[in-house]
Amino acid sequence: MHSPPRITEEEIISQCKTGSLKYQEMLYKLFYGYAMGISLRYSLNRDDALEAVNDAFIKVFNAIRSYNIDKPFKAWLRTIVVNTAIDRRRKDLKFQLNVDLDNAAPLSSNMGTVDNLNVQDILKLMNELPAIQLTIFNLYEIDGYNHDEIANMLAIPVSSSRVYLSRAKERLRKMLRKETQNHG
Amino acid sequence: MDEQLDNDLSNRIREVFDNFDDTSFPSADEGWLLLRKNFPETEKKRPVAWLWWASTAAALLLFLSIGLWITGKKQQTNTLALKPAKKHTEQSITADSAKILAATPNPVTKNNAPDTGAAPLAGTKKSTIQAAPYKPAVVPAVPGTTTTQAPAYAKTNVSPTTQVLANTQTAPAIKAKPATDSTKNIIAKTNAQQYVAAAKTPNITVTEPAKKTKPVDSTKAIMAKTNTQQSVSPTATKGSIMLNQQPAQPPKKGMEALFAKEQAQEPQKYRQESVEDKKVRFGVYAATFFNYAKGSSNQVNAGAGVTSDIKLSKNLKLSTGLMLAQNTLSYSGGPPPSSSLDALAKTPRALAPYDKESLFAANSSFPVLKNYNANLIGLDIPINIKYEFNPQKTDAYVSAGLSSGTFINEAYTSVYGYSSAGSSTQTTDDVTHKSFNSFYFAKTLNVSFGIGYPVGKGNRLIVEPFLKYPLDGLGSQQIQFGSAGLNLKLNFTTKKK
Repeated sequence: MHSPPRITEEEIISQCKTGSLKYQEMLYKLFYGYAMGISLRYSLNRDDALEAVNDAFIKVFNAIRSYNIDKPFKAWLRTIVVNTAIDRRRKDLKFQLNVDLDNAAPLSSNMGTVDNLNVQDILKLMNELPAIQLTIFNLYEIDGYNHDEIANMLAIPVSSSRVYLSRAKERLRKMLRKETQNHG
Repeated sequence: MDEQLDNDLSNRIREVFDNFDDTSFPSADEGWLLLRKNFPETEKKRPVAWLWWASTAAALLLFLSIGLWITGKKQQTNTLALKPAKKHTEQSITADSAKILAATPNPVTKNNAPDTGAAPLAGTKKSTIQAAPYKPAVVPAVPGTTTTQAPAYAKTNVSPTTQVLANTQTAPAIKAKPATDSTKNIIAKTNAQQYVAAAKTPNITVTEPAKKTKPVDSTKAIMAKTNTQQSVSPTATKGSIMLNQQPAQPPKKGMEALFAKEQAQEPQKYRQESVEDKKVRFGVYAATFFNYAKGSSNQVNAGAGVTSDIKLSKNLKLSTGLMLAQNTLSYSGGPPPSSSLDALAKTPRALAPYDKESLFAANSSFPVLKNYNANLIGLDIPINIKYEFNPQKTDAYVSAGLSSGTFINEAYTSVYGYSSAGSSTQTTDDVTHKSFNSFYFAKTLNVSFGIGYPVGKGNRLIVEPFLKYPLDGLGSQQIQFGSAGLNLKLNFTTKKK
């Protein structure tokens, strides 16, 4: 059985630089999951996340001619997705939503330890955080930005970034412990 | 303890989302279809942008033309305002030849009644009196008369040595005095005496010297005017009347001279115009047109360029230039008959490379070419011969020639439709881009006619409907397409140095 020739990531990207819609589609489908995973962490729901992903890919297709193929594409895409998702929620970042932990949605029943958390559980946890805390937690803990960069991105003082991060962590801890007690 | 929990949570989040693959979320196919709703618009917006730029250019051209036209009109108005002044001066110049008027019979010397013939030119009676002493200035110009007139000057107590100076001196003196009839009479009599004395001499032709003297400037002309009045006095004698009646027509001659002057100037004007006609004319233009081709729906497009007209003969001009224009063609159901894609599209091999992709291999069925679009941004170099019907009067012309050129960008989009397993028909686009692929030589026939309107000084606004007929296929796909539309041209005249 003759298997179709495998096209490399570099080949797809270089073809995308010529404006070929066919290869753009390939690139989209190849990195859709990766982009969606990033976008979901910053968005309110799946529809918002999908819109952010698509906006990010449009930016990628428009700017791909200037992309240096020697550098890792995933890192470049991650930056674009994160920025796009934050831009879409920028107005939400101004509100300090204080959610009462008692009203938080219950996590999945089989959640015993952190290692058992699935996508839905993590998203539920994250959605209990105010937008600013969620964003800073994602940026610092998951995506590896430092406080100076975060402060610059969100136009807030560095000290605020630190405070919001510690509050986010504290809140997550409380929620996790509460869930553990409930299941214990 | 807390730190450990934080680290565990962060690691888990990273692990889950880096390998995100949740079937409950929209699939990549759904996401792509959603993206396609917005993404192709950026490409479709291009023609609109072109139209926008073309219309902006046309509007600017129009405003510029109006501005130039208004400026030209203002200049014309100024010229008109100046003209009467010129004429006035010229009148005074012609009047200086008023030597003639000296001949007009004037009874002033006898009854001081205003002379109807002299009044219009000389002004008032007063000026007649004031000007009286000027007369001798003209009279001595006649060779041989000086000696005979000398006694007359002696009577008026004016130094005969410096006649001109004396005249200038006496004139203000008289002006200063109140102009009474008695003084007038006295002066008139004095003048009369002069002229009587002059008339008695054989050289009595007073006006003849005036005839010979040519007006040099307006001042002289004015002086001559006054002399006209002065010459009224000596007409008391019959002999002088007889003699002066001959030049009674000079005013007419003066006018004739004016006309003659104008006529003499006219050829110069024509010469200037003909010199202007010899110049190379440059212009800019904006075009709005539609592309036509067999099987394609008509697409409205725009372009712009520069042009130059080089005069070959009285009615013929060589017109060339450079035009940048967008051409779009849209074929529904298949590629153009002349296209090289036509043969490929009939076989599934057209999509052979597409089928290689694992992403589509599983769910693609027999593809059907649904739509074919060509978007060509061309650089056109026309060489036309222009025949002007009457270059002196109108700007109407017909023009024909051939176009050569190349395409800066060629984009061919094939839209294929195929049905996925168990789902509805999907479409996918295949775009091919090419730049400066080839140079086509004389493959388009140009026919146009134009009507021009003068705008400002030496500029013309030309409305030019045109037709471009394809003689052969153009572009990498060898598509035969033509265009028809309207050019809006602004031709400038530049001077050769």
